Amino acid sequence: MRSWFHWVLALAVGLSVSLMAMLIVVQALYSGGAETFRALAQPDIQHSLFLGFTTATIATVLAVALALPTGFALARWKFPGVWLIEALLLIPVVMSPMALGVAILLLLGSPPGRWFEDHVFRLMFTPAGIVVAQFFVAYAFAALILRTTFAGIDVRLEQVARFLGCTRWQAFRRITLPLARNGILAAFVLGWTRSMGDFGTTSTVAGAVKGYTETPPITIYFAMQSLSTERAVALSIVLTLLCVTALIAVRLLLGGRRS
Amino acid sequence: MIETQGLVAHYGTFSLQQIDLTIRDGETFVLLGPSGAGKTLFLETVLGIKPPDQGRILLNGADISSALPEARGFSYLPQDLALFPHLSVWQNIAFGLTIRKEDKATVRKRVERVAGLLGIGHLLDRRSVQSLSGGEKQRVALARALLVEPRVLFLDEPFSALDPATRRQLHAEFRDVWRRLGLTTLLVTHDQEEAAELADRLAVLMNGQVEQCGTPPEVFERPASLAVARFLVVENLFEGRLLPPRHGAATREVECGPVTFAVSPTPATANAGRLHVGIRARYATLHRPSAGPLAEGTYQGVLERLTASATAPRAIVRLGPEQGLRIECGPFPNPATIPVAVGESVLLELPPSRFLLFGQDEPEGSAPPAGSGKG
Repeated sequence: MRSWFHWVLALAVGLSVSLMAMLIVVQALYSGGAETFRALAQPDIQHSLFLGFTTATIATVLAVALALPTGFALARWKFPGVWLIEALLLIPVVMSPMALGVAILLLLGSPPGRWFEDHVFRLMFTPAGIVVAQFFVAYAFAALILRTTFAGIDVRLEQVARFLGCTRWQAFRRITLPLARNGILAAFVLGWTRSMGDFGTTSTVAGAVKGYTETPPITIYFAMQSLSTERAVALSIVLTLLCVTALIAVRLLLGGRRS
Repeated sequence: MIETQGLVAHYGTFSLQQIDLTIRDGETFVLLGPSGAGKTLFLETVLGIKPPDQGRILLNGADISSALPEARGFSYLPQDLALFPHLSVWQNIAFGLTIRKEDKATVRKRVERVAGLLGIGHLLDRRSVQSLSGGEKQRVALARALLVEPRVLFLDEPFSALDPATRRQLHAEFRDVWRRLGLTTLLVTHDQEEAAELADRLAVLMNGQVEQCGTPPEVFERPASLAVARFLVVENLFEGRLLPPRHGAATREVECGPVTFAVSPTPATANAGRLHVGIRARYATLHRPSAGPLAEGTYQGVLERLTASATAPRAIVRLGPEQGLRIECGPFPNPATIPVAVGESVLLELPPSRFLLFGQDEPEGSAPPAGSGKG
């Protein structure tokens, strides 16, 4: 005889699964496969997907490259106020995407930002701006995942490696880095999906210029504005499939572990 | 030879206080102490994982206090062994030589030699260290540590997770290997049996201080203080009062409640008022009661009960009235050798020379044993 508590839990799980599954099912039912393939054949959608794919990949590579040493240092260094730094790094996660975009615009408008725009290359309202916006979105996820990953790797392994002759760098490269492989891949995949799907920050920093700074979420926005629901749904399905595939990949990479 | 001079280190609010120890070449030195005594902190400070606050660490006379861990020539076996989970057994053992970019033939020859020494040649093809048993992991970790031919091997309670049978077997094997290689070893443990089995010399560390240092017989037979005696579980410890000397008697008497023990006093406790006396259970022997007067060092009591034990029970003898002292005796591997039945009168012999005395006017005892002080 199961208690009422068991049934409450079962109901909650059932409701959660149904709601999430319905998000996918309704898209599939509305559009159907043929409409999706037709939409994918359109040049403007292909451009949007290519732009989103490219910028998200560059932004995530940069974000993981910075989050990797940062996450390792935060996992290993013990000093008062480390929690403050960790909280600071998570700002892009907790901030509204629009507000984050405004903050990035202000940063780019500051004297160092203006110098960069004048002497290196323009970022505001350009495809490069998309990379900047997506970098901030991806970075917070990557830093969070990598800090947790490195914290889960026993520091004794590095210490023993050093007594076997490794320098700190060699111990990191030969022991810690291989053991963090799944975490790094997970950070990349989740950072990439967040970047690919970002609308608020990207549109604020890079603008929503048709055919120029138009990433898939912006294309969906345009489609909904012009009442082209089929286009919007087709692209939504593509984005959903990409994200679901990424999540399954993360799950497989982590070996089915719950952590 | 490793020497620590006035070594002070801290972790949070806990600190090691002026540790002076010398570990001689080729010896197995054990740092014994209860949990929280500072053993691991000492180990990590000597290893270079934590910087010392004060003091020096000398290796063969050279100051290595600020040397990088990898430059000290030490090997380290932590409690959890820290086998590299992403490497095979072979790769784990060969790791130190691979880092040094030794040629493959040399690596193969040395890995096979050390594996043969530890009887793990059949494990070299294993692709993962996760599939090894506890004892196999110990051997692989030791092989990895030995392969780099360390100047000193440091072990932090590496046997603590093993079952007793495997632990005893590995004690014998490892000690044999260390002896054959002439290895200098520092082992940290809270396990007294382990310390007694493995140590050439040992130091007792308590509350960040070295309480005593000496060979196992010196430390176990003559704890330097009441605190050490309690940690080393001297079974029979009583508080008492030293009575004035009797004319012409070689022994003194200590009154502990209803019982007065004959003891051989030490110079340090000859004038003590109140003190603690202790005697190990193995020095308490049982006899059938005799009709004649009691000889010095013998006491009339009642065999109250035998302790439950799978191998060798101990006898609990009551001296004096119902509220009197309980003396633990034994163990008795063959209970049939106990001369009387439970509930019967018994003659208990407690040799005066086997009593330990700890004065109360000095902090935690006063009996200076042979070999105490600097190691």
